[in-house]
Amino acid sequence: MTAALRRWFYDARVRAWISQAAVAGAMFGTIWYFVANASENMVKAGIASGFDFLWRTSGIDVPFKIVDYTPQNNIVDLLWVGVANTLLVSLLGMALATILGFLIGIARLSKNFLLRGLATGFVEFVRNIPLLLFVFFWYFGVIRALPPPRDSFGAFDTFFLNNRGLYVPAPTEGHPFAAVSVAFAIGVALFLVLRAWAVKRQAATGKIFPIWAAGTALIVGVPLAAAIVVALTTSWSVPVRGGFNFRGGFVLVPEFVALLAALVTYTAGFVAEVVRGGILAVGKGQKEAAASLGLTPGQTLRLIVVPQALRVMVPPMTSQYLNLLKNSSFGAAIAYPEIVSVFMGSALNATGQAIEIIAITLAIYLVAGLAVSMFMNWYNARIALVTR
Amino acid sequence: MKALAWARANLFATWIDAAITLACIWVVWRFLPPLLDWTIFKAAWLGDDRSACSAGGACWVFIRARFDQFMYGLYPAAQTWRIDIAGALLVILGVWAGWRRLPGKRYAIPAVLVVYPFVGIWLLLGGFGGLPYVETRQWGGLMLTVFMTVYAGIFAFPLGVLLALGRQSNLPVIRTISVAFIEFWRGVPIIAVIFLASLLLPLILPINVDRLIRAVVGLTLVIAAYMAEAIRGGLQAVPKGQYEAAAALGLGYWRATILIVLPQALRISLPALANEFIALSKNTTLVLIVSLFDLLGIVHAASADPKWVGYNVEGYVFAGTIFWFACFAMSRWSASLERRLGAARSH
Amino acid sequence: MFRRLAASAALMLCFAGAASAQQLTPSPTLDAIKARGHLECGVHLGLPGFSFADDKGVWQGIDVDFCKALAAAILGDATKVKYTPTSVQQRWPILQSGQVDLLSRNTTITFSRNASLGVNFLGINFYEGQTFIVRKKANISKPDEMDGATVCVAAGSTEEKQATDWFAERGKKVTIVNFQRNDDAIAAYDAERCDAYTAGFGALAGQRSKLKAPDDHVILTQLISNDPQGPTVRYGDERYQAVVRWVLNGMIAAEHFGITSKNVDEMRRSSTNGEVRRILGVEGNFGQMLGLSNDWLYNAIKQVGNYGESYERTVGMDSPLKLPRGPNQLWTKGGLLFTSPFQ
Repeated sequence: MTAALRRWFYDARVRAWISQAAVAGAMFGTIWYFVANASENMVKAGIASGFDFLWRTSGIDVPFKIVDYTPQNNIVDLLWVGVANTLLVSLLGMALATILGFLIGIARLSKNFLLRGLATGFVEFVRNIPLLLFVFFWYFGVIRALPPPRDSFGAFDTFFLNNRGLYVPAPTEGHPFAAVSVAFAIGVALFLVLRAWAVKRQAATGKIFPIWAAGTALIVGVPLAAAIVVALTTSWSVPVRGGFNFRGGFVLVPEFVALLAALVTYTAGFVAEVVRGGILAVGKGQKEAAASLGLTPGQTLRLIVVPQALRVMVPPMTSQYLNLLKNSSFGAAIAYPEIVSVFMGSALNATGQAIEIIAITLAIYLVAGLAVSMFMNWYNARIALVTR
Repeated sequence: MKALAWARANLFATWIDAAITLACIWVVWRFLPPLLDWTIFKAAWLGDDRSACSAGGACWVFIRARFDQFMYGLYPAAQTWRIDIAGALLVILGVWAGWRRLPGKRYAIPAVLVVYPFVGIWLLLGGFGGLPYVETRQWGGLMLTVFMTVYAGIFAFPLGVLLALGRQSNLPVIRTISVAFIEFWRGVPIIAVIFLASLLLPLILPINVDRLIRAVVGLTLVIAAYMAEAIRGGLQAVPKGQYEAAAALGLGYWRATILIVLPQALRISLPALANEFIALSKNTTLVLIVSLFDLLGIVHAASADPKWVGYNVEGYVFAGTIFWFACFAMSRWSASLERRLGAARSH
Repeated sequence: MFRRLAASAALMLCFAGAASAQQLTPSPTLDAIKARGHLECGVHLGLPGFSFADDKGVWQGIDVDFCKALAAAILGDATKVKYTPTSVQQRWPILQSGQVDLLSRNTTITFSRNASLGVNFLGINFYEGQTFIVRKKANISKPDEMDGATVCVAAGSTEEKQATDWFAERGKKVTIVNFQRNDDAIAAYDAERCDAYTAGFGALAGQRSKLKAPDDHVILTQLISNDPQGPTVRYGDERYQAVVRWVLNGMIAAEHFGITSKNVDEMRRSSTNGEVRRILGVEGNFGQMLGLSNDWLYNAIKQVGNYGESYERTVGMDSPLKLPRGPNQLWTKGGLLFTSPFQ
């Protein structure tokens, strides 16, 4: 009996399950303990709980929004304003940081001594300074560098720039520019069809179609044409000088510009290192082999170096994108109305429901992060080396 | 002649190169002189108050006047020697543990990870052993930044090791919990975590936790998740044969892990760990959102003082310079480690 | 026999002791303050005149004075206070979770806060009213003239919502830029990001010193709201709440009766007025009934002063803020400051 018990006890599988059950038990016990404490403390302290507050009128004004919202809307609408602003600055930041980072990364490998030195200096400078400092610096720098409203820079009496922001005309009602994103999708679809045809033709006849030029024309040109058509057919609200400032139109606030600039310059420093690492990881022999096959330097870069470098670069780029998404929360320090600022700041103060609000905020970041990683994983799988 | 040849090869090899060179020279010429003027030539260095400062240059008088506060916060002036000793000890131990040439590594690492935390707390907090008690609400400035970074790093390290092992474990429950923990803390912004720690910890714990500890707990959780990923990289790089050899010698999981696998994995992941530590030290600045006055926070607060209002740029430059030197030194160290590791592995 | 007598006597003594102890309803907060030997007071991060730490870390201001008076009343020593600076966001969790015994920090008394946050407001120590600070060169004299302006404000304050509502009601379009911290909002206003910064007139008088050239700015006199402010505590613990409420009343009443920190000893010896005698603990046993010593208010007035002394020293004519008493004058002198009688 005891021998059987001992054998049972020393069985690796049994022990594995016992230890796992213990860990899981401890884990859930701790969580349960925290939750019980919190609910007890909240009842004792008379703090309201539940998610009803989301449907209360917010009464909070937001200076910069890309979705329709007024202070008469509910708090849940305020949340969407924050989410939209977070996504706007993050996605734009990712695109611009990638471009700037690529340029700097390539500059770091340049044969030109001065260019290389400047790029290296930039990277070392940016990587070793806290982002928060960057954000403050850009913010107060941007505000100080721009003139007050009465001395605004103007162009064609339709665009104005001052320390309250960049004033541009906006459509009087609705969102006519939704058509542009449809046009963009059409452009991408056309490009994919064209590329399939070009690949087939090259395989059949050996003729090379200038796919990149045509692709750029389609992807940029089609939405641009749509934008022009829309611009000419809608009625515009043009900024007009008022007592204090300009009225009408759409304003790009300095908080947005400063946060975007800080995120882009900061992240570009890290992207540059990823790019440099990726390009260095492509063996020299690859380039030599390409040259001996008679490929031009441009073709070598496009067909040989970049595809291989991308493979190395995608995983670290994913984490840079995720960092940028999370770092957009630094906007809270300079009044950019992103989710932490409007929801964990203003809405939390108005309602006092810390637990619910923090939980929602964290959940949104996790979902957004998950979406970015899933997209990057899909892309990674697409370009991954297929070994046979 | 040689210089000319060098310039030709490095600066003016092609027309495009020449254009780039000229553009770079223009950038330097355009921005460097005003920058030097502001920071050095037109700056005010001496004096006691803002009347010593002029419009054209930086007002370093502000930094001089508030220097002690930027370093020590509101720590009692008679006791600041304790901070100096704690700091010196940290540097000495850090160099001992981090510099390859120095002997006795077997003692240095436990000294940093186990002994120092207690000595440091005793020196800074006091309350027994002859040192008067100094409350954490009097802490601030650079000393608070270093404290939070070092202690969050020290607490996060063992947690990170456990999480990394958990993620590599064969046991599904433990693996799931580890993955969930790591991905959760890696997925949320630190600013939100600091908010979370400062607002929620008091509600979910039965006792009152010092607000500095709350911030350290928040930072620890996040950095542990990042460290776990860095260590996982190291674990994956240990050849499978090592595990098999350890098993063949009859070592159990824990003994094989501690004696064979972890030492190798940690050595490999050291550069990545150092990079996470740099990121952590930069992110401690966010505690100013919950009104803890770290270096940046106290600079920020001092520039709202009526006596010094408007000199925030000088303050930011000062704080930025300190961060830059500290982070740059660490990143150089990490890069040299990486190079040595690379060299060792290619043998 | 003797033993029995002694035993029953001892038993009776126990009962008596228990009964006399029973007269005090339990007050965990007061017990905790006495046990730890200091008061934990939540104050503003830095608002000159109200609660502001100088570069040595010494706290001053009218809100800080109230903390000191409360410490003097409970512990007999006005210096036994520890201050926790709290931001606009953190003040509620910090109070709710018991990290501070009270908030004395420019917090407007509102219905929704009282109802949903589990906090009670125990009187008014400053009648604040929201207004704006603007640049002189902008030539504004009334908030009405601010159509089209941009206004900087601290997020989560009552001012944020009030300004939004006030302009909306009047059909004026104003852009509100909300910062997480007051100091950042002021710095942004100073950098001309906004045409105005909004807060209470008292807070503005204090924060004006944080501007680069304070004389280039003007605080509008028209108020757009009433923002009464006062000490704030958690729900529960009525005895502690009574102490807080009556320390405030006591400071106001002391001014009414002319008791100052200078003449308080004299008054205690010689006053024949029943209310003064009760305030100073000469008559009745009321301090002990609250679980304090009978000279609780004497200590507060002796060490901190009456309301008027505190006002003039911190925000009034003896301070850089130079705020006239205005609504914060006694009811007998045309102000709103009122106390229930010490009968």
